[in-house]
Amino acid sequence: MNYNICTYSFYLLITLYVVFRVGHLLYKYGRPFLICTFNGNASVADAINKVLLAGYYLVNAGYSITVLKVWQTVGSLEQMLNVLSYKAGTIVLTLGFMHLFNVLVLLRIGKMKKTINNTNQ
Amino acid sequence: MNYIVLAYSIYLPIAVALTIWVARTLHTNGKIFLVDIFHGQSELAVSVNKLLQVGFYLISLGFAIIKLEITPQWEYNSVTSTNMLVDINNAQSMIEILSYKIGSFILILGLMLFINLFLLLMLRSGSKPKPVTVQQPIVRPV
Repeated sequence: MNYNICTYSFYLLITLYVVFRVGHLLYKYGRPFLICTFNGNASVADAINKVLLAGYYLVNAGYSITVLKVWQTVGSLEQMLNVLSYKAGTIVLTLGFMHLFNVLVLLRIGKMKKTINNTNQ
Repeated sequence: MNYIVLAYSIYLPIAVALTIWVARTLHTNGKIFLVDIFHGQSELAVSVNKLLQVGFYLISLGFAIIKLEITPQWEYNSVTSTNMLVDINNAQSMIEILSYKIGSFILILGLMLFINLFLLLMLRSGSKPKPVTVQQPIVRPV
């Protein structure tokens, strides 16, 4: 087993763990928000939440598996740590930005709904 | 057994298992949705759901099987500064090619799932009865 395969396995372990952990957190804490969006219809909100979770897993795990290939050959332990930190860090950063963007969009939607409700009343 | 055949035999079970998982998720959760869309006509909802599932299976599995083939790839070699054909003859290149194939297939599955979800959401908002606005007679003070 050379260093490249070692790097790949560590990379997959780290990124898939982070993806699954973050997805579970979003699933857990996004539920009340979805129920609020669907006007208290909990069964539909739960169904949507599960489909969204599956989609999140597919997109993020798919992306991190697709960009697995390390372009340079890894020769030593030090190089392996360098490459690994850079690649895993990129994935975690992308996840963070996507998450912040999602929260902003959800907040905007909530605000829009509130103003529509206010004007209808 | 060479590495390409090994890669095929890893790729196909993973692709089939992932397709089945996604189709099951959509099937179980889409049912609640479709019953809501068809205003409680659960027989119609169940049959539409089954048809959607069959379509999903056909498209995903067909795509996975079409994309099966692995060919040696052209790659830029910085030492000789030319493009060279990279043969798949060791475990490392097999893992790299396999990860690209499986990852892109998973991404496409995710895309299909979101397309399905948006279709369902659009149907739902289209099936909602429009609020009937009754014009109130204007009462003028005499």
